[in-house]
Amino acid sequence: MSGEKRPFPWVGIPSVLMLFLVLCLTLLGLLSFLAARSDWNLTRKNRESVLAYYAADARAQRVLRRVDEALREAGPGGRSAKALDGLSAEGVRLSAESSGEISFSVPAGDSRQLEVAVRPESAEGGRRYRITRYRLAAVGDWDGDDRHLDVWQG
Amino acid sequence: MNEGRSRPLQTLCMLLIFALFAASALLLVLAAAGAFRGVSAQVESSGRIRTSLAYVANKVRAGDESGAVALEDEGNVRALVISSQAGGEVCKTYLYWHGGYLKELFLAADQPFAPEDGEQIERLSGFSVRKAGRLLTVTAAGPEGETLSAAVCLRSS
Amino acid sequence: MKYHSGVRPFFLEMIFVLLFLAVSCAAVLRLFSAAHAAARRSAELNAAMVLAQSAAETVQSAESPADLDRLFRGDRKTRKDGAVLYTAGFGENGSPSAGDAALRVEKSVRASAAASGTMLEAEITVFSARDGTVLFTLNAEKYCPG
Repeated sequence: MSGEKRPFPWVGIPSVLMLFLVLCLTLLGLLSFLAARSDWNLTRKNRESVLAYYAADARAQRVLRRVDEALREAGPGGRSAKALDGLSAEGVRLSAESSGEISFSVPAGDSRQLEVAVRPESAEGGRRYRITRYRLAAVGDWDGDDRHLDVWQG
Repeated sequence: MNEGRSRPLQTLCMLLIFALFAASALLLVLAAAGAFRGVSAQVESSGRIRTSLAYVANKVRAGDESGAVALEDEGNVRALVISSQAGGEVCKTYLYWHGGYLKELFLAADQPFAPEDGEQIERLSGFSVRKAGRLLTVTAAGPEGETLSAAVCLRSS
Repeated sequence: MKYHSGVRPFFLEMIFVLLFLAVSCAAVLRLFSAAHAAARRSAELNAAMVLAQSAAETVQSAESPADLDRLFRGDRKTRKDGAVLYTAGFGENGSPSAGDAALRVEKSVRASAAASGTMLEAEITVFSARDGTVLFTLNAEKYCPG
């Protein structure tokens, strides 16, 4: 008498299922980690940008103090943009514009700068200047128009 | 004889164990998918509000000149309007909330404002701007209703 | 007596599979917790930056040092090392919080008088109210012409 040894049909299936499971879990874990890490990297870049802007802003405020001191020393009759043309304050050079305004630029990071313009006021007892422009601008011109785009012509 | 009785029992046991393992595996995958969804939703939600506030703040800073930034009511839409010069012409940039989106519309000063023509910047459940003197307070609301406000001061006068 | 040929291998396989799964789950769990921590850290820093910038912009809107009390009227005001300290609490996402605050914003403002005006120097620090760690620090200056 001999017995029959039939192979059990379920052997191997748990291993396949386990492999699939580990693959799914690893994929989901990796995707979560990568999404969170790229968000963190973006946040860090934003942080650097914010710090650069406020450092430039503080420097511009110190330049304004220097401008105000110069205008005060010049007196009501001598408050003109030309009087301050070429003056240097906080490592920034002041320029007199044809419109009668004093302007200067402060770098705010690699690709941006703060462009400030003030108009001297000669009113007795009032403010000695008025800020007409305090703009954050990109450094350099955008040259995207010169790039050739390979678009489908139909 | 015993063999005949114990074989179906053994098969049943193994089937049960395998079913338990398969059910646990499914639950584990669902839990992991839920965790991934949670992380993605958090990243997306904070990114959405942060992007909107930073976008508006940077637009204001880029256009900060005397009298260039104002709040205007166009019909039932309140828009932050930033005037600028482009090619010798006065132009206006409108930033407003319409149709569930923060929108931007760039027009020549003499062109009529149509809120549906704006470019969609970000999907938000709410957006508002308040002005008190030179201080603008921008508030954005995300899809879950969470809000965040940011202040921007106009340095020009 | 004949034994079923597949029973022992099946149980052995199940044991190994469960062992391997346990080790893999431990590793994947670390990935998920790192992802969750990074997302939470990012959200905290973003909220801290928005709050700090808002405080800096509020300082910028002051026409004179006396304006600060009005601008920060909802804050707790104290004095520390010759500077005026304004402290306010905010929720986890940066919204104002009257009760349990998740974030604390401290604005330390020092006024330096000069002949032509006053320079306000503000050091804005955002703390986690949970453990007191510094999340973000920003320095802002505002010149108020006299």
